[in-house]
Amino acid sequence: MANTAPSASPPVVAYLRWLLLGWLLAAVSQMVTASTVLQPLSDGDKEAIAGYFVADADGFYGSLQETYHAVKALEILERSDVESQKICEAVVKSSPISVEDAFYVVKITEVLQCPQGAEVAKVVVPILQADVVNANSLLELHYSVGALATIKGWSSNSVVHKDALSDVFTLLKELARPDGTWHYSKSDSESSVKAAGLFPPFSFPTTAIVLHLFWQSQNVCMIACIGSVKTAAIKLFGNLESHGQGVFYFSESKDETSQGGGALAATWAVLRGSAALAAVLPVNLKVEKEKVFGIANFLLRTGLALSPTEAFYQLDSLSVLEDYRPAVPIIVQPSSILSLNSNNNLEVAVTTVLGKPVPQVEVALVSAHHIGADSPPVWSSQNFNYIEDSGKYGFDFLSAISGLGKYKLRLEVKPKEHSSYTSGGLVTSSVTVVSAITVSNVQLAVLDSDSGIPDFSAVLDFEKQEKTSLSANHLQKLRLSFELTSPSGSSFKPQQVFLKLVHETHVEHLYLVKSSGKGFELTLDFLGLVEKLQYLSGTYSVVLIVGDETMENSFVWTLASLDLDLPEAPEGTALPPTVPVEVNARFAPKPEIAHIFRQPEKRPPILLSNVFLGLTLLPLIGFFVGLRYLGANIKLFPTTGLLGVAAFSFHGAIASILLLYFLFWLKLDLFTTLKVLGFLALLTLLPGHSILSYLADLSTKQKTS
Amino acid sequence: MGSTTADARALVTALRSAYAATPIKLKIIDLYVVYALSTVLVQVVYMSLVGSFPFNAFLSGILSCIGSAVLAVCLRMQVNKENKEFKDLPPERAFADFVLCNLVLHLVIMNFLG
Repeated sequence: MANTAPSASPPVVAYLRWLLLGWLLAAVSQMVTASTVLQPLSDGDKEAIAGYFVADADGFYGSLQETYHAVKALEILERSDVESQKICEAVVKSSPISVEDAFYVVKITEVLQCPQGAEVAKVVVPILQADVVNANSLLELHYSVGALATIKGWSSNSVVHKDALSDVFTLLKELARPDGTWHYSKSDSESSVKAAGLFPPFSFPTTAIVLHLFWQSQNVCMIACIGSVKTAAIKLFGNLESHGQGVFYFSESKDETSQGGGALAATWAVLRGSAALAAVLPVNLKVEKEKVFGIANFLLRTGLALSPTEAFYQLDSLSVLEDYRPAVPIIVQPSSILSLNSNNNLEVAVTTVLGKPVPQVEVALVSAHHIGADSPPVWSSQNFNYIEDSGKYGFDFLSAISGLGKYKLRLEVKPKEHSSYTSGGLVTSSVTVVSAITVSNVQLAVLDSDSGIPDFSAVLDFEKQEKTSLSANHLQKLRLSFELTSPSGSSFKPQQVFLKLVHETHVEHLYLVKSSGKGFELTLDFLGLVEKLQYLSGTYSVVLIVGDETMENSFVWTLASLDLDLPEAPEGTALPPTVPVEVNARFAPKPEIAHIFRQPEKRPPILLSNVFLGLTLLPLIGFFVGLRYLGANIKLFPTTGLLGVAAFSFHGAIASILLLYFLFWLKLDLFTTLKVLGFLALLTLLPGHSILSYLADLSTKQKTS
Repeated sequence: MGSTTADARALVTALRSAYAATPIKLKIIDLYVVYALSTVLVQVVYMSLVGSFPFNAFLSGILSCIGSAVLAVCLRMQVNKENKEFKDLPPERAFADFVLCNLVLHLVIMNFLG
């Protein structure tokens, strides 16, 4: 039926090249590396998502679009706490102006099944009909046509005329381009460099609605239109991007006309659109089942939505997948642990993505292998039986199992009748077979170091979890031995076998118990351990820890309370402080540090200093006295004339330099001092030179004469 | 024993008489040196009593006195007429050098005094 009329435009190929949003990829990769068994949306998740939608005072959840998202999401989650009456009344009273508002008003009315449908229709129809005729972008077309299709029948004047419909279809064809991308709007037709086409998914619900309307009005275009649209839809699914490990999604391009929302929004748009198309087209839309399952994988593995809009996209996509015409993804969850003791069946839960049970399938076990053993499969090609009223399928797995451990299962799910379920191929999972292990022959003894003769020995009963008390000193040894038996009778080697000695101050010491022969044995020689035990004497509790993945009754068993007598620590050994196990001590306030400031130096008493100051000046006085005694005089000192000025200024300048030094010591800095010194030196130099040269001349005259 | 004391006394008397013959200028310079050195002594005694904190002040004081003494000795050498080495150097020039060096020395110790 996919034949195109020769005069029609070349098959429209919707190629999307949408870019990624990094965080979504990270979230997906995190989930994908986790378990391979997919889980449907859990009750906890549903509660969390419902918590996103908080109604404000008038019952709304924000803008009209947000309110629509909220009421639709809460309907999918089957919550009944939506104030539909309030919202309906408010919605009717609101007078939408734009076609987008009108669209959401109509949608809210549809979801909540408001009784005021006719009034709503009366209000919005004029806007929508005007837009259908004048629309020049895909989004506007989507809103107007979508709303009109929804309100068809609510009132009498909502019939869209045939001409308008054919105009719409012409517009759709116009917006399609030969290289496969779609324009966003008519005005965009020149810019062909913008290779990313936007919102072809939105064209699908529009196209579907238009086709539906055409059908009713029996337009001739039908067959050719169906063919091209179907091809386009299938090619659309060819743009599904893969993130490995079976996760498929549609990614979004970052253009300014995109509405944001990332891969989740793009995937939602494609699903909604293709579901609408599939409902309208007379033949089935052929989409590969693995791809549909991959989309389900993506939706469930993105983790919890981060905003109400994302929550809406996720929920609405999942509800579309619940009865998706091409293929309905189902989730197969086998049980993960089986106990040999309770001998229960291996149960497989088969549900839809939102958690509803699926009874019309056949579950078969293709093969089951023991992981780690290279043996032939334990089971092959067995069928499960449906357990009534539970949505689960059961099988007696344990009847052929004798050994404990992990088994790898491969399950196949085949739908009965014509229903098109997909489980994404063979489902692999693993089941761990566990059992209770018997502990027997537990012997605890204190031996004398030299002779090996037990001073004390006890046999403890595991069932009663007996505890004994013993005492030892550093010259003795402690010996523990016991046996572990698995239900098949062979000795069991668990992953963890430890003996722990706990001092009363919570200091712990762990020792590995090694296997020997049929059981396990450990001998602690206290002579060698004295230092490791930090010379702590006192009461120790002796605890046995045994654990394993396949052991149902792993235990921590206090065997005895040991009174240990160790010698004193020798002088000089710095014992490390015993550690309190209290975890919160790390966050308690630390001890306060008292800062000790440096003590000022001791200065001598002031009196002593002053005495010595006087004593220092004494030699000066002695100098002057001595000068007197020698008969030194200044008779030749010139007092008059130029020489006198020179002499006085010379000595005055030297005195001023000394004064400058004194000031320098008190408060001046070096730079100022040097500047002034330079000036004063000049002042000293000139008179000094003149007076000294005068004196020199005088002395040479005296010599010659 | 008696001869050594008599010898010592004779030595001192000889020194005294020889010293009396030195010119007054040189005696003034010698007195100046003695003055500087006695000031050093007082400072060292003080330091030994109270400890050497602050050390820079102590050093600066001692170096000032010793430096002055050294410069005075240099001046005496240059001014002494009997010194053949400095025959051509006028004493006024030596005195000017002395003044200049003293000024530089005192700048340095004032800086170091703190």
